[in-house]
Amino acid sequence: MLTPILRAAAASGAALLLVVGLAGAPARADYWVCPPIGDCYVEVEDPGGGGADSPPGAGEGGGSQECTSKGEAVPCWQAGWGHLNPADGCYYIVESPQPPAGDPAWEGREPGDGSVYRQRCYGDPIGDLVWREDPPPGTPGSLSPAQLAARAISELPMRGAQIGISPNPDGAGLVGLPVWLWTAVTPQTWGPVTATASVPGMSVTARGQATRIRWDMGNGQSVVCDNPGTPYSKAKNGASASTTCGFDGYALPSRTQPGGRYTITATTTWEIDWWVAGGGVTGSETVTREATTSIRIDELQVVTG
Amino acid sequence: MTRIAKMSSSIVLALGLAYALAGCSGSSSSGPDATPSAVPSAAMPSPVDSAEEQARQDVIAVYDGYLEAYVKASATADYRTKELAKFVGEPLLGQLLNNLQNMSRSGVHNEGRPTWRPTVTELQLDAGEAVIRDCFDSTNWNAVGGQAPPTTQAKRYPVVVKVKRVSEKWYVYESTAQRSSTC
Repeated sequence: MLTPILRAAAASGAALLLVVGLAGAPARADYWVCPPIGDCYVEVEDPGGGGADSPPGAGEGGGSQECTSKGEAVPCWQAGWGHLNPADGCYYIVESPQPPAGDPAWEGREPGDGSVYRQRCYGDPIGDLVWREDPPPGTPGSLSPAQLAARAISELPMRGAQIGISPNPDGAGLVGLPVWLWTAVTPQTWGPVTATASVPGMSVTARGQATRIRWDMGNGQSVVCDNPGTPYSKAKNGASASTTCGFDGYALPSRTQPGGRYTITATTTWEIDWWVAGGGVTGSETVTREATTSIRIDELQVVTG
Repeated sequence: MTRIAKMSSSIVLALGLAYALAGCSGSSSSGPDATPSAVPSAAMPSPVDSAEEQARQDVIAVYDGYLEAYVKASATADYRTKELAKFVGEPLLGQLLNNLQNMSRSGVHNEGRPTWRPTVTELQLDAGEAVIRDCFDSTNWNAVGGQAPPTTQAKRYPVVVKVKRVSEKWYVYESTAQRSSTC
């Protein structure tokens, strides 16, 4: 009983009359419906209810989808009602026109922060207004701000450190002597970098900034620096330790390591902020990028002996 | 269904009386409203009169635009039309589009052309709300095709329409056809 009423009420929204099959009992019910204006007519019940209609812009085959609401087969999309949200069995369509700023439907948010939708459940032709940050499930091809942000973030040219280290990997260092750690500072290694991704009606900008590098020294010890470090200069720095980012020195030589060298891994942490242009939606996330190098550390007596 | 039917009948009852007072011969011409209770706050002539007159014209224009767009769309049961949304807001917009899709599926379309004679019977400028009463005549506008058997049905009846202002633009958002009345 639910479905026939749903369908009939859907068509009408105003007065409606239910016509019981007069001639025999057809397998499917047809209904006498009266639109908001104009002549009433006999509505043919959609066989199967699945709906061969597809929304404007939808590709072919979109209409072959099966949707259900309270166990009944219903169209996944209906003109004027929008898409069925499988989560609650209600149809959602962007409220037209969108309520003005300050309308209670915005729940205190600024217009542009999400959208106000009209939710119609179980044949209610009036429905209720609901605010949603993202298009509800069931909306094909709907991109949420977070999804668009992911696209922008993927376009950020964030790389691992361009490792500088002293002792130089081409030579060898000595146990107990300070190790300098740094990365060449470029937008790709330390930021800031920005990228914007857009779809019609929405644009999201993401900004990435490196905030720290964790240097794993290959011997189980690590150093975390919240700066890119300072390049070593023999003339200026001699045998002193880095004041910005350094390792106190290896206790053991590297000859027992694979290849006779310590593998050093620099893990750069990038903090990303993103925001919808002209809207209030923002977000943030953290990603890491790695780079590696290796150095040889010799025992002191090799040099002095 | 019960809810809708109840709502409709109560509107019919409530508005039937008001409609009798307002009459059916009104047009969009100027002049103060004939219904004494319709405009509670703006009884005295004041500088807002011109704004009010402008609003009345705008309200009628949007009603005309809605009907023109709907008559055109229903001639082909075009439920993908974008034209209606310029004049019609929810929830009426969805009802009209959904009905057009039902017509399309049922093989029904409208032929001919109706006439209408709307009057703004309530106007609350501050609230951005207005009510139109119309005597809608679909004598020469008929649903054809589909399985519709030729039946006698109301062709000339009062219609009560609610109009609201959103972001400086008026939209028709509710329409009640009083098919059991005449005018």
